[in-house]
Amino acid sequence: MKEGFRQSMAWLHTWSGLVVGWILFAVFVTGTLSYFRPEISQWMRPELRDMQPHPQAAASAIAALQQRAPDSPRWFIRLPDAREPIVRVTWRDPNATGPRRFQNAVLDPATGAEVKARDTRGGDFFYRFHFELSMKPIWGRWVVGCCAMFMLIAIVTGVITHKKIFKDFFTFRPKKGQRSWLDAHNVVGVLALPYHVMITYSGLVTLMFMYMPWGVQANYGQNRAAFFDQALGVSAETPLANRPGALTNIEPLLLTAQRHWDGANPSLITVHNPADANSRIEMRRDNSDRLAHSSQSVVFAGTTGELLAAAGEPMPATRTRDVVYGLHMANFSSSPLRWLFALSGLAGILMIASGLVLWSVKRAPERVKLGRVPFGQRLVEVLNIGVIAGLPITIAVFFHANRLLPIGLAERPTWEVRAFFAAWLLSFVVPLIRPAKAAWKAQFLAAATLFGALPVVNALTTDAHLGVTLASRNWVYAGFDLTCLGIAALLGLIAWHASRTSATQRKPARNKAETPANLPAEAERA
Amino acid sequence: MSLFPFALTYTGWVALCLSLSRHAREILQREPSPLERHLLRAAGWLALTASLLLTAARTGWPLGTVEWFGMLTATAVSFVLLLSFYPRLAAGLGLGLPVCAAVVSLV
Repeated sequence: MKEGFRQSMAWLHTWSGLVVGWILFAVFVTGTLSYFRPEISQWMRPELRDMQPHPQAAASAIAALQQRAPDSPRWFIRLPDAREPIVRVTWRDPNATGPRRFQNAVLDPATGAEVKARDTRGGDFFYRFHFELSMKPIWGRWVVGCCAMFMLIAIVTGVITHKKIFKDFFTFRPKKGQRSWLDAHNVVGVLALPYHVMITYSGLVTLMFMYMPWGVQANYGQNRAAFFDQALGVSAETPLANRPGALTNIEPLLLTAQRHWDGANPSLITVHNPADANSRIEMRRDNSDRLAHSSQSVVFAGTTGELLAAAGEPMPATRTRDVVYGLHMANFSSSPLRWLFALSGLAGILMIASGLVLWSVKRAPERVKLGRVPFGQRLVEVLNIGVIAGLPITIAVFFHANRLLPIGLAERPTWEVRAFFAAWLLSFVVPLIRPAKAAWKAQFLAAATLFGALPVVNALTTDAHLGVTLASRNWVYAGFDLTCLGIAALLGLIAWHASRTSATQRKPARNKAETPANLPAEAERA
Repeated sequence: MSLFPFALTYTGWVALCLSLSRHAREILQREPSPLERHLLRAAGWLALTASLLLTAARTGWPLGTVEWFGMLTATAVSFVLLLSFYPRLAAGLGLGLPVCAAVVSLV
């Protein structure tokens, strides 16, 4: 009976992992990149190289908006921080409708002057792709949520299937074909297990009001906005006084907000009806110093600066959700901790990749016996190569497009995304026309070359290259280039490995223990 | 995040690994006695716990726990990789890393 249970769990693990594995791989890769969303956005706008946060940023942004959009009903001002030292302003154009209603600009924190940077989606592209897959938002979110549920199943069944989870805790036996793939899959799965469970579960929590709307529906009916107002402390609309009014000085309000939050800074300022006597200034707390990702805010009367409302510490249920949400977003982390998250993310990527490859490796004897590759196995092989070895290529191409497309090109951000998907399509052509081993090698080599070339192309096309950024210790830009070189080295290593042994053709564990050190381990296993 | 608790997690893994006879034979070339195995296991858990306490004392329990899990994964993966290619170096670093971390922190 026990054996039967294990076997059925193994079956569930294999198939729940395989069907969604490719999407999960892309979700994990783009999710891991999203830990560096502000840094990627910065790098993709090299014109912003010398920006610095400035204490007067809020005041100068308000002055700039009073010039540019005095009649707008709403301004949003994102204040600069160390990771993204620019002011981003968005305002509603009162005369426009549809998607063009909201206008954006990037401002210099010190002067409030607009900075002309190239138009790009930057790190936001990976962030949105991570949970929407560039599909229609609602569809993408359902697909990713569904895959996340499969991932939870695969994690639980994987732990059950893994017979010697503690005995094999430290075991990785390289150069042994299938054995090595299984070891690798287990090691990255088990050693980063707390992360895998946390990230999958918290990922579902981020969109829980969409996946499980019934609780809200039962209590609020169709009025979801009322629920969010109450639960998340997002303030409601205020009526117009229809008399002109002038905004008060923002500086003392910033200090008041800080006092309310134990010294934490405001990160987002929303000004409602800025030119009206009944204007409101709302500030939202920056969450970079704590786990919880809550939208705590304070509201001031715009003309007098009187404190009208301050959301206190949220109730336990909201707080729980805020912490789980915060764990997923990882905005709290200092940069060493962020790198630890990225490392765990990499473990997740490797776990999914090795699991997918393992499916093929396990069926290698079957292919040898048949003398041909059955359709299903060929399909998995092509998808594996196209996704696992293809996605690194497409990401590098996306960054290259950012540097190489003409600056004045209309719809430039769209062209960057088109380059991304064109490269991905091409990555599926190579495994279709070439044998598996050659295709793995060619794709990884291409990806390594493209990543290695990024700092070079960057140096040829911009002034934000390593020669400048290293000297001025600009770690956002220099870090990006150096990371590209690191990724290139890693991919090169994988390509070299792929050319020596073919993942899918090697027979399992042929040669027993070449070195004396391996003997006892071998004996124990037998 | 400081280096010493980070290094301690590595030491913890090494001690726990040496308490398993298969790995002990590979690294020490001999079977550890039952007493040695108990001591190693205790030392391993002690190192991991000490690391958690030190991290929590520095950044508070909520962030400290998260940092600790991140460090556990990072050192475990690096240790296992090193262990499969250079087992004796991997074990030796269990003593070397905390000493280096302590020296760096003091300097």
